[in-house]
Amino acid sequence: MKEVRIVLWALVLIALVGGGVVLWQKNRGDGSLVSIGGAFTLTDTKGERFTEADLKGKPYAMFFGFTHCPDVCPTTLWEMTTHLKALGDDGDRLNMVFVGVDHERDTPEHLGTYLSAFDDRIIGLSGTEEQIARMAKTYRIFFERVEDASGDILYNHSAQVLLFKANGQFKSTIAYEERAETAFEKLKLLVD
Amino acid sequence: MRFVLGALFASMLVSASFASGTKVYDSEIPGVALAGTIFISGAWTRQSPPGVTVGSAYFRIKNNGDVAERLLGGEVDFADRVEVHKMEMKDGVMSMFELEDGLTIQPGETISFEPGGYHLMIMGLEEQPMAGDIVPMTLDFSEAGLVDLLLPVAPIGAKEFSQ
Repeated sequence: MKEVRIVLWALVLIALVGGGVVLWQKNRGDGSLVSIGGAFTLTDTKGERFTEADLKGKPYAMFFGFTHCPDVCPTTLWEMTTHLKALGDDGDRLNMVFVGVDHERDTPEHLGTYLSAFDDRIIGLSGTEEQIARMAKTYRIFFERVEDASGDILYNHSAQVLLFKANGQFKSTIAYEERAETAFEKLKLLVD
Repeated sequence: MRFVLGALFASMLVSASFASGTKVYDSEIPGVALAGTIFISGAWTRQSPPGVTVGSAYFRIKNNGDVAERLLGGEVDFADRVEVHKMEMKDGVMSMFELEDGLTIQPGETISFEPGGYHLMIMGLEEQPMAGDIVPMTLDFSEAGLVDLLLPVAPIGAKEFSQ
């Protein structure tokens, strides 16, 4: 009987210590920011190598999509074009980046043609399947290639705009559903 | 008994007229169409960015009838196919899929197609509708049959059609 009691108390002790360790680790985790962003190597619309180093020095806004996207991507690009126009010259102090995740169709040339309809300050980047996948991981972006019933290739992808400070540190996001006014304020704060 | 027969006859007449797909009324006003018990309003499409072979169209559909209607798809003369698609946003991820069996509109129900939700996806653009154009589209319904519609074209990336 006594042994049973000792074993039970021992179990309680283990549970307490274990729980404490988990909590401690959790709290420690909360203290530091989740890492979003970092190194990448892609190609710009002129066919030249483009890395995170080319972005630093100015804060940047970055979003991911694909040119054959009928709905979200042109909408977001148009909104960003509107915001850049509203920012005027202040918009020059910001790097706005669109990354095409469709490695098969979003070639530098095609991306260049596509983006010609939007503000010419928007930087279009594309890459190989591997480069895109690596970047998506670093930037915590989800995307997946799906084939619909008619055999068309579509991409499901994260739709938010990621905002970074000039030193490359992640700041915040603009969600797809966010009001245009709020989105504009966030961009304004980023360049101020 | 006579009532039942009458009702049966009436319903046969109604379904016959629906099944034939005859257009009760097609509006010449862009963005609006009335066919059978289906009322379409606020229809529009938008110019696609250069080099892109897909587009989208949006509208509101109201089913004024007593039976469920299904939007099966559509047709345009400037592209290969028109499909009913749905976009969903979950945890910041946009996913899009084709509603292969179409979209059911229950009696009395109004469904809005708008950016970020349901849309007609126009696949294989052979010609680019340009902002300011008005382009024809034919929608295919399970009960109302084929419905002709004129779509005003909004600029690239527009979230709504405004004059």
